[in-house]
Amino acid sequence: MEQQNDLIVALATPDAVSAIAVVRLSGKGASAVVETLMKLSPGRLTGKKRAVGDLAGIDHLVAISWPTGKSYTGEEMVDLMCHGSPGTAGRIVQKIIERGARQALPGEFTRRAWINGRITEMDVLALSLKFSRGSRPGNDAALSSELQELTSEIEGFIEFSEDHEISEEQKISDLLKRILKRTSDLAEKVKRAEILPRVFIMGPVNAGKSTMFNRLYGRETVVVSSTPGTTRDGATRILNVHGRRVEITDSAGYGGQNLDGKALRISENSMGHGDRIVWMDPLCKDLADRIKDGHEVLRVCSMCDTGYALEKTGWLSVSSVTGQGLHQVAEFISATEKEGSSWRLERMVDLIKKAIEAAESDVALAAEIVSEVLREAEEPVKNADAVERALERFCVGK
Amino acid sequence: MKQNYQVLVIGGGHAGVEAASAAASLGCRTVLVTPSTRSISLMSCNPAIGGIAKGTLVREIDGIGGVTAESADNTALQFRMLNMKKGPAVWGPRVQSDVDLYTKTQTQQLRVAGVHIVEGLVRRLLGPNKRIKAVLLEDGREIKAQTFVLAAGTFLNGMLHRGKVTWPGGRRGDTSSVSLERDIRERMFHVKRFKTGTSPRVLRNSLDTSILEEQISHDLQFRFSWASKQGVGNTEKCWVTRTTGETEKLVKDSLEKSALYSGRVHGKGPRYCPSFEDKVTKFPERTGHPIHLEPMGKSSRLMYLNGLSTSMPEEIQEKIVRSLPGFSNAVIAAFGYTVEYTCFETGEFDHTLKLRETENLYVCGQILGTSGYEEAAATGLFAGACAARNALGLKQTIPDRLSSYLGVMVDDLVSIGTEEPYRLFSSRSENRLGLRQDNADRRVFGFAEKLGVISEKKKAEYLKRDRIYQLLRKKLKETRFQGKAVENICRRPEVTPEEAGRLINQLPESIDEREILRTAVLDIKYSGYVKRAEKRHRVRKRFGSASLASIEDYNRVQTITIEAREALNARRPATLLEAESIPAVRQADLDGLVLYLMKKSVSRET
Repeated sequence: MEQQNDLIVALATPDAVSAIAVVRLSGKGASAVVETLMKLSPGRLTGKKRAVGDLAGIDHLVAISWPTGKSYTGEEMVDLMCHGSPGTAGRIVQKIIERGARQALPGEFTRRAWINGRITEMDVLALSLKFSRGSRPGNDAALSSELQELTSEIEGFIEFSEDHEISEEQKISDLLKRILKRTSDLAEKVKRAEILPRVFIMGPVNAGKSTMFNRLYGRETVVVSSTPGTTRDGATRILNVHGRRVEITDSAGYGGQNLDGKALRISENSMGHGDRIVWMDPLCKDLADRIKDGHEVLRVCSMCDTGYALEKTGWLSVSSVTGQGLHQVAEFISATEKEGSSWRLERMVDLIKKAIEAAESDVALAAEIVSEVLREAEEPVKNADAVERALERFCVGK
Repeated sequence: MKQNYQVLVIGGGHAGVEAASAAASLGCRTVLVTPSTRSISLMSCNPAIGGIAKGTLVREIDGIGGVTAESADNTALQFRMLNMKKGPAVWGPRVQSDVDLYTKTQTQQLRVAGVHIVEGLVRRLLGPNKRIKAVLLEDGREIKAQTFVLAAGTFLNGMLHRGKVTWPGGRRGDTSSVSLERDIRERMFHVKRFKTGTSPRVLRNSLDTSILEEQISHDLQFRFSWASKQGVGNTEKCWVTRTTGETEKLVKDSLEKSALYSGRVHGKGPRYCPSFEDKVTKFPERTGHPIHLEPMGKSSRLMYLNGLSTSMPEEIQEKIVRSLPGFSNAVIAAFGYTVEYTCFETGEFDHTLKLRETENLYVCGQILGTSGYEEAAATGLFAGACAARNALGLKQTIPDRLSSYLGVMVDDLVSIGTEEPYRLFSSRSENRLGLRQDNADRRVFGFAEKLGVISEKKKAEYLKRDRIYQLLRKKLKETRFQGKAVENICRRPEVTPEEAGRLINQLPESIDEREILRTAVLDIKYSGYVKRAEKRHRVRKRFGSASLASIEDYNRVQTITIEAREALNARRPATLLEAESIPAVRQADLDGLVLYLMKKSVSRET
């Protein structure tokens, strides 16, 4: 088991635009870290206290502290109520991590609460149930029951049809088609609703951003859908890169050779915590530090085939003409931590199509594929590590 | 009797024969006690061996060193590969058998193995539960042995039912083991009652088969055992007829006359092998149920009516049979009936099929709660080998569920248990694409070597086949076609083993080679699925190995449902995995158990 009361931090509210967001810190030194960042006198946040003020120049916020034994987790704990823009909360979390805290694991606050006797096992299970409900947009009851029906239909067909003629082939194929339609519809619905991980391709004009964007769009990736109506300054596309759905923005049109302040502000405003940046410049000039904060950046030295570009350590040489380096760019893009849930549904759609194909000559194989779909559709009813899973059903911060 | 036996087998059915033969193959002085030496391995129900999953199991028996596969090959009248259009993983080889010849062949197998056969009915076991010393026969003889295998089939207080008539018997024309069953109850073993049924047999020459559809034998040169020289041919005809609306009406109108539906049979019967009464009740809108006509033997005058298992009174059975097309003058030679018998409760035996309370009593076949000759034979083979290994002081070995249907079945029976006679289905395996009939010998060889029943000759033959297999795999990997490894081309659904063979320029010269090529290509085709199944299995095992030994009373575990507490207190699973397989224990209860265990370990640490 990992160390029990080290300082952990996480955003406790959804990563979206809202009036208020809560960043929660728990563990030894929670108060001290906030006191330092808010420039409060030491001890100001000891015990059950409240402080209002500016935190590291990021936001004006309210801090509420609880003493050991009285908080949700049972440990020294501080909740920071800041303005609900993901960028803001993200930067606060980042600042606190820089001060030695660690990002909380999924369910970790609740686990601590339970271990410290603040809540009972029953509460954990009840909470787990509460949070898991509706949190997985593929959990469609009708889909699950149709899949179950299909499974028993297939099994009947395999085991009994030769002697008892109980099951019929036609029924299996009808069911498969119905399930395919339901899953595809569901995938579309979820796709429209979900918040995707985002990647911005940035850099000075003429750095080759659009060329690379089109290369990614056309070759390395599969186009899933375009999103008309996304009015940003650049073109935005949802791509499936290495099996991950990612929203990629080609921020062409920003700035000139030297980024002006206005362009920077525009990009800043549209970026959320955790969004990634592919920074392109054939001259290997780095982007402004202000943007880098809270974002992972891949530095790309573009047009490496022209001889006009430089080579510099820490910069990836890429050519959209020869394809050099494009694979690494795609890897960087797909390594994003957020996961779109419609991707799971799309995988199900692919699997069902495969099952339909297999059902013609190899029902046993089709059955295996359908069981994979079932595993995707619902958490396996009985398997794997029960409590870890019970706890992991919480999102980080709950 | 003076002889100092190491293994004593009670029962001479499909389980008993394999058990005795396995024990003898391991070098034990073995005796088999049966009430009737003329009915060794008698097929008391349908005259056929194999089927979906069952046929695969028979091939596993061959790979482990059992005798059923060879006997089935040598007594076959017809062969069919079931499910040929449903994918190679669920192909189900099945033969129609000559019942009399099968009995003779199996008896011969016992003689060759050196098993001593004693005719007699066991009255009771002698010695304390912990260590059984001997058996006492009804005629007063006492036979001592070191270890015992109970393979009593449907004989433990067997009761036969037909219409309003009930009489004791383990099988038509045979006696029932009433006193042995009483002894088992008095020894406080937990038992339950199961039931099963069989169909009427009709005189072949009383039927008009000219108007019936013939069932064609598949000429695939198939054989269950690699040791059999010849493929199974077609020497007897089978037919199919269908029930008419009249048949169903007859049954519906007479339901209260059936032993099954008059409330006198209490044992639980199999849902998948339903009596005709069940079919009519559960699918009232259906007519035209297929009835298969299967000859009981080459020289037999009897036809078995597969699909018409019934416990109706004789006069109704007669009417039912005569309502079938081609049967207007049919004469029933033996009427169908239901048999109710005693078997052991789940939890009484462990993974070596030894009764947990004893040190030396093993159980197999229907008293484990199974149904079917194949299931009986396979559990018999394993129980016999375990009993012999016990007698010889050797370490036990257990088949794993990922590599054989035997492993699946043993684990299911021990960990999950069964509320109705357990029949093997391909879907009981989580690695179905891996457990095929074509690769049975490859899958079980490791286990077979450890178990020690397999003969040196069979081992050498296997290793010869393995060399061919390895060579083919190497060629498939190294040969390139249009710039691609043939191995990768094999994975395409439309590429058949024959085509793959052509691509590596390896046209099989014999049936054996053709089979081995098939296996090599299918292994490649399904390897991804098999690997994933293995991975899931590992994860499950790791999770499930958490010990529950520290929980003395589940009533104290507040985090689980009361239903689960009761079930867990009753079954006392050793690990979380075993707890998982108890039906009353749900996912939430498992979560609750883990939380309880974690809480315990946390409070110990701090």
